[in-house]
Amino acid sequence: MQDPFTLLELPHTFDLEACVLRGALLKGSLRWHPDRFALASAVEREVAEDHMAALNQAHEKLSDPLHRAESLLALHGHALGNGTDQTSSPMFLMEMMEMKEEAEAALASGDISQLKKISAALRANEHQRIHAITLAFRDWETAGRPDAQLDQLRGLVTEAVYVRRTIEGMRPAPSY
Amino acid sequence: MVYSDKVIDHYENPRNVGSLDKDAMDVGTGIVGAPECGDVMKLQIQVEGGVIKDAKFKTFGCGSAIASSSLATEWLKGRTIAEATAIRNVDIVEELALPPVKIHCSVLAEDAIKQALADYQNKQKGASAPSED
Repeated sequence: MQDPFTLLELPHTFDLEACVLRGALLKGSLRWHPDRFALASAVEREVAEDHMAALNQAHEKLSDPLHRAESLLALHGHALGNGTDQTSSPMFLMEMMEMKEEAEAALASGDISQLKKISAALRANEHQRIHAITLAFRDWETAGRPDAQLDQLRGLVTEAVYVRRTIEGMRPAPSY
Repeated sequence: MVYSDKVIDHYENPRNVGSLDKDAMDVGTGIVGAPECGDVMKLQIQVEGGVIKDAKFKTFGCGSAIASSSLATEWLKGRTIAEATAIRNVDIVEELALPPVKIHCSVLAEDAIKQALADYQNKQKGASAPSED
């Protein structure tokens, strides 16, 4: 399976504007859209459909800065870990836990305005982290992509993923 | 996914939910997380004369993560430090009949136990060593 950058014929860089991504998807669609295979054989049509679906997925993935960062890290052998997190500090985890506790308490007491406040704070937090990640990846690429910085980049992305999962977890649906 | 009766029991009636004073000398705290699902687990032990008198946990995560940490606190109470060190995630997997996709929840619990024990032992070392400030 090709990586999403290669699929969309894009350079392996973090610095991809939305319009560049759209352009790449459009270019791929012109070639692979199932409509162009209306008269082709069933096999060819299926291949085109699969490829078009892969292009859409790749576009969706790269359009999200966190997923884009994860894809780049994975390409450099630093995929985000499965299982216990060895990178985040206990202090950060405690902060996330406190945020979740506050959200849980607000949800239990039906305090919607407090819930909105927490949610807004988390979104601002995520936004700041994505900004920091953007700058860090830019520095890393400018410096010639040194391996020595990959652990630190992964740490930044890991923490941002926590914040995002915490926001998602605030929707009142049990994850069980 | 089908959860075992034991997982559902721990999920619906979690044992030992709560917090101990993390700054107390006789308390060890472990906090671990799994970024891909956003789970965070805090596990604390209170030790008296080498024996774990009390254990508390607070977990934000799926049913298996809650059940794993709930079971861990049950097992920890009354054990010595050495006995607690011997708890392995496979024991939790077996007891709760966790499916393969949920094994990482038991790993999380084992890591939380290890961290809590290490935190407690660090505090004891710090207490016996001369103060540096």
